[in-house]
Amino acid sequence: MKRLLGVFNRNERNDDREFLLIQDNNRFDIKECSGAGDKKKYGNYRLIKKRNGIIGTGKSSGDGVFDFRYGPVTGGINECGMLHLYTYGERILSVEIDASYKHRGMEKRMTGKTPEEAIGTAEKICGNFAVSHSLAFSSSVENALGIKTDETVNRLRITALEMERIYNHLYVIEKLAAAAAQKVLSSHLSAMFEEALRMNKILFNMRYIMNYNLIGGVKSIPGLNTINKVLDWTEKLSDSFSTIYTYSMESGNFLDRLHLTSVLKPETAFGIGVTGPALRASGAVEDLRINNSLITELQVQHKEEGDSLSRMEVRAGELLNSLDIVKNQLKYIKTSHARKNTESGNIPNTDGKTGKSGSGTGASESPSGIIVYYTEINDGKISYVFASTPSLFGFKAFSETITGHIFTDFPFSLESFGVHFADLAR
Amino acid sequence: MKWWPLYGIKKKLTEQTEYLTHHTVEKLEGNFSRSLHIYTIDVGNSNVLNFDIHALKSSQYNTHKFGIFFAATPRHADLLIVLGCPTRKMIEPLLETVNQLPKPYGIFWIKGCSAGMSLYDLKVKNIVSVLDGCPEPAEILAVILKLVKRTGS
Repeated sequence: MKRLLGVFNRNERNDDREFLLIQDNNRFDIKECSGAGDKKKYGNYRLIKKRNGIIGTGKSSGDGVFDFRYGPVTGGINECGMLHLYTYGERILSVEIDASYKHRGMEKRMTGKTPEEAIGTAEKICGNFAVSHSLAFSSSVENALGIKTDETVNRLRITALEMERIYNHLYVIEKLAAAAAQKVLSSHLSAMFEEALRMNKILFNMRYIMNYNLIGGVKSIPGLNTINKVLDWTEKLSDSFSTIYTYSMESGNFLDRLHLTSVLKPETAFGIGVTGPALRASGAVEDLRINNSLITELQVQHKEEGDSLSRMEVRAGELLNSLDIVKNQLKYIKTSHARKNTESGNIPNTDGKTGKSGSGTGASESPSGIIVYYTEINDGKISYVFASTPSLFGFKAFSETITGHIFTDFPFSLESFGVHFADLAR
Repeated sequence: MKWWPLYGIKKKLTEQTEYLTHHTVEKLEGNFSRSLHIYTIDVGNSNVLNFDIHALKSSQYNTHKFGIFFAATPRHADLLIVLGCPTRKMIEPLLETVNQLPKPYGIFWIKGCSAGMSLYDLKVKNIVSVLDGCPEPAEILAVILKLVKRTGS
């Protein structure tokens, strides 16, 4: 099934052609928009086209309807985004989301730079999805210039991506637990979250794994002692997370808040273009990692109900699966160490192709859905870049599903989608 | 099966370390050595600082034992932590937030990694400390403790 993930024009003089970024399973194609036919075919065309403006389910008006402005400075949401919640009494009638407070013009900042310089900017679009952004961008550049990476680099990139997934999923589940006042659960999860960030620092030298992935390679190969330390941690986290999570699934107080909250139907999810855990919680078995032959341990988590509880269950399952993936990838790197008997760093291999021209797409499965980059390179400098981020579709899905609920359901709905204003606003 | 709220009650997660920094800080007016309430405002950072503040609330740091609490509104706060460099649209909300702080107050600015305006250009008063880049939670906590003339442990 084809899915529209991006709409762009290059803003060049005498060129008002519009291009569509279309996903067809694990292929990402750029196609010129043929007009009304394409616009009708893809229901989310207008949403993507207006992604820098206000998104949501529109204004509601009438006697007694109140525009509750939540943001940009609140105690409830960490980020500086604005939500207009149109309420009648307690009931939410519609939601409008304004992310312009956080707009930093990151794509524009990337143009004119070399890919090596721009990769740092891509990571800073959304710091907690740094690896996903960096990986999608670097693979778009590598595809554009025909750069190949070796197996060790690919396995280290998978490890970094899964380490990112682990701490992001811990964060989301902790947020849901804290919103339901599950203090024991949320305290333990917060400790695990901090521990996961420290492990990133040990393994990749940065808590948020920035400056690690490079064009054509990675910065360094972790040493044997480091790998052993992380392998021990994966065992411990796997045990402690499963124990506390199993306990929490017996807490009626907790489950009642999540069960049947913000039900996302599969047809709505496909219509909006939702990907990631939110789509998998609505019954679809879809994951970009399925096609990666190096990830043999992958078990795609999916649920049928499509509510906040299902989304949390999918994330918990993915977290444990990610730990298995990390374990096996690191074991491979350990054996390759033994083979080469070296702990030296890895020098990115670009075969002298970085000064050339070309265009390409690259994608990665971030903790909240698919991130795709389309990059055009002219004589070694980036002339155009387009980033499709999962939070756009996540926020739209949130606004569709929160309708009819009351304000106390708000955190359970918003957090379960794992969306971030930084990722949406860019 | 155990009554699950008792799970992990014997785990000692809080770290017994001193949080020290060489970073210099200005004088914070008022005596907050036993109790300091903090409000954090994101003005356009890459989310790394938001996550680090979230990590600072974890059991390892246990800020409550130092009397450090995170307030839900600037009106209850003694120290405002500004996370990032302000985007154009966040200037006004930031100045209004500063306006809502009860006196005496201090402002701790963590610049983060993305570009934006300077708080000095906006003529924000009472800036007691400025950190470049994205410091780790231990560094942030060390600066806060130095502001209230404590060292931790």
